[in-house]
Amino acid sequence: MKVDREAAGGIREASAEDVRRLRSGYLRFKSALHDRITGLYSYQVHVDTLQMACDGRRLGVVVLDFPSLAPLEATYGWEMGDRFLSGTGSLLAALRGRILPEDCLLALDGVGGNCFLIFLPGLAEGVEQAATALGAIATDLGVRFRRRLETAEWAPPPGVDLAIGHALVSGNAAARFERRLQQAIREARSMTADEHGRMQDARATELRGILDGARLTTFYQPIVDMEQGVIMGYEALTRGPANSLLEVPEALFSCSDAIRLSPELDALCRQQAVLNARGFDPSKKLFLNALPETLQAPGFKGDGLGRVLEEVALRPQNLVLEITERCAILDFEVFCRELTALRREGFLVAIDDVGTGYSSLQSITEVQPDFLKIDISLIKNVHQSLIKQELVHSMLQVASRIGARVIAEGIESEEEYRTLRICGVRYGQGFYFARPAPAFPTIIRGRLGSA
Amino acid sequence: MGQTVMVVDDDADIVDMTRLVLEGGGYRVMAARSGPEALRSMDAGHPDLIILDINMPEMDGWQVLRMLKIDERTRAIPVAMFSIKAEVRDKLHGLQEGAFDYIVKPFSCDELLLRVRRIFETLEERQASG
Repeated sequence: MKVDREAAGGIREASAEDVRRLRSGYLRFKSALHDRITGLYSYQVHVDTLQMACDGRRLGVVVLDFPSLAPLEATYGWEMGDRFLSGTGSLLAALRGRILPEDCLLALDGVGGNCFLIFLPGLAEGVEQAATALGAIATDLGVRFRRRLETAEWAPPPGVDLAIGHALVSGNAAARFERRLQQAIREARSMTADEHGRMQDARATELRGILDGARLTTFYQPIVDMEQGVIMGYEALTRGPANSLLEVPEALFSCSDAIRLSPELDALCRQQAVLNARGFDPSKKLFLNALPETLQAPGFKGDGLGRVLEEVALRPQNLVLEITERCAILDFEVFCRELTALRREGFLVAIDDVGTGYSSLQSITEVQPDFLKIDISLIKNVHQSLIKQELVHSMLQVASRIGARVIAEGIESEEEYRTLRICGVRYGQGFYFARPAPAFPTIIRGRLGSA
Repeated sequence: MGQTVMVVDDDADIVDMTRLVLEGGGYRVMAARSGPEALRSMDAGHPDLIILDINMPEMDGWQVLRMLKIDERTRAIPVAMFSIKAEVRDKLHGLQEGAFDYIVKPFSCDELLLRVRRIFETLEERQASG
């Protein structure tokens, strides 16, 4: 049928159906190549423009990569990642005409990624001069950017790494432009990978030093019973040496993951948290973070926790082990068995970061935790999001079914606090009440009982 | 004059029922039976809220949502996802893609109306607080 009509009519008019299909196809492609977080396109969109721009002149590419963003996002949530990348996009756009030449072209190496590409056409014709000019721009950009990372208003997460690489696109016209372009991007990216490797090595050395000398400090943040207006417990948060690359726990753990020392680090964090809690009010709970794999290691208490508990006159009943929901639990049965064993010892169990991880609420119920801690990403601006409120509600329902108590983490504003109270959340934690501090901090005055 | 709600669902019964309920509640209702139809009708005028089904043939609700959020002209229109599934992960996905609320099917008439009212209330509050 179709063939006949086309053969007979030659060119036929586009039907409404054709227009519809074209539009939906066009939108699909546009969406596939456009990154709405940064507002940039994947570089493939610009290949023709670049080819024309570099006609007879040298084209260079600078790569800006944030290799540590993925683990940080896993900790702080996608909203942080989105904010960071969109801030980076605007900052790059603002640097055009200042450090970056007016005619440079910004793009991404793939939609949804965190690898920014800056194409610089019109470099000097000689390879050496061009390479020098490109290197200078990359260095300058790196200096400015690192400074911005410390001061930017869009609050980059602590511990985000910047790795910069650059390469010239080969001028050999015997090879296809697209492939020369890809080759240059690959070269520049491998430079960023090398740089990141060096940073990791430096950190690994530092981490081994920290582990050997037990150079960790513990901060405590109150967990508040919002109904009674009292502090029900404290979460222990570990800090590395101040002003070092490893000050924040995320940096500590991403480094220890890379060199497979996380179980040791995890055990040391707990030990220090208990030792530093000397004089802890035994009517309150001390919340300690624990990696799922540490629990599965033979003899959890053998890591010295039992001994240090005795030393500070606390019992397992005072401790709540927070197990993150973020990482996939590989063997659920073994995991549940381990937890049961720990609870027999008297430890309480909390599932941390609920709402971010791999498990469904269903599998959480199987663990039968004593506490559910709702992740900060669901609490942030909860007053403005009906979906978040709905999720809080379903968590409360699940919790009441299994007899667990719900703690909202990361409460930062009055509005969030009020909304959570209206939802029926009883326990909360966050800057709104108190920031983590080395001694046991108290609640900021007037921050309770007004809802 | 009431706000305009656009309902996008390939199920004619759902569209009819939603129209009935929302018009009864004082809203104006636009209907689209597919994603492309909904996107096309954006050229004619913008609703104040879009209720978008997830499971539709040809272009599913997530794709339509992405399109709406890419286009500067439609980015600000709040979207509520319409679905029979109510999994946590689904809701989180909706949130990440920029959905504003989630309406689970099947729903009662009161429930739908209440939900839509709440969405508009929250939007007003948000506007008031800047």
